[in-house]
Amino acid sequence: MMPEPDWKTIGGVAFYVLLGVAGDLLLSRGMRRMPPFTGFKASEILRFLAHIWTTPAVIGGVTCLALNFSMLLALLTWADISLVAPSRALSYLVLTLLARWWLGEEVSRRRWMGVWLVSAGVLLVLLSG
Amino acid sequence: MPHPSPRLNGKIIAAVLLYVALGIAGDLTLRYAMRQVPPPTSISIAEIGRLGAYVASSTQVKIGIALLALNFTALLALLSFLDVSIVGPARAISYLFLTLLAWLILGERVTPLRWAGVALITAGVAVILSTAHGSQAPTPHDAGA
Repeated sequence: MMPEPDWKTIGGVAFYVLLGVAGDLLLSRGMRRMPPFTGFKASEILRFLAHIWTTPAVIGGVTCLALNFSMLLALLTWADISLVAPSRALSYLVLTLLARWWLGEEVSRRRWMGVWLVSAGVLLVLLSG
Repeated sequence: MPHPSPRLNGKIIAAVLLYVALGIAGDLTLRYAMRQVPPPTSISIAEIGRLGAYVASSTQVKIGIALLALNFTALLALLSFLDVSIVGPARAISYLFLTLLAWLILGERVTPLRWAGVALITAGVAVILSTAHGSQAPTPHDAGA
């Protein structure tokens, strides 16, 4: 028998995971635009800090990750860590969908199989709340 | 870029286990710390302020954050000389360990449904990581551990 879904927890976890994925993507997009770091010199460190504070994607990414962590703390006031931590694996589904439909990458059948297994698992974990 | 990983030896295995243990310890500590405060009753400035004040004053939360920061540092250090094929399976298995410890230490009620879900997730992550060589969609850095 499936218990009644707890929508507050499911919605909170979904929002938490999406913030994490958005933060990771924005950060990697913003940081890849920076010419690579060449060494630990004062001028390089200044260039690095200037890049971080003037690139909207980096600022957006850091903001998303800060909200992601705040959301985790809020969730853990009522939700089990044995529910929240495994549910983080939902990010594999979100990242794979984005890679396929947004970046147009080829996704192998084997990877899809793994992603559907993970998603089914997260569904069961969320319903166990 | 992929680079040949050094052969597995005791030191490398210990480093990977330390990385996984730091992540699990961080998660368990944060749950232990946060369940002592009443959950928010609404999304309001007052409630966010109440939780924020608790987070800022709690030593346990700070320990949890420090453990997760060390976990992330360990991941970066490991990935500088190991590839995902070694770090990855450790992450997959960490879901099972975390659930087991949440049950044993924190006394969380892990129902058969939740165990089944965690087992499927572990299997699925293992399948995904077995495809990690070559150009594939990225894997999240915060997936478990």
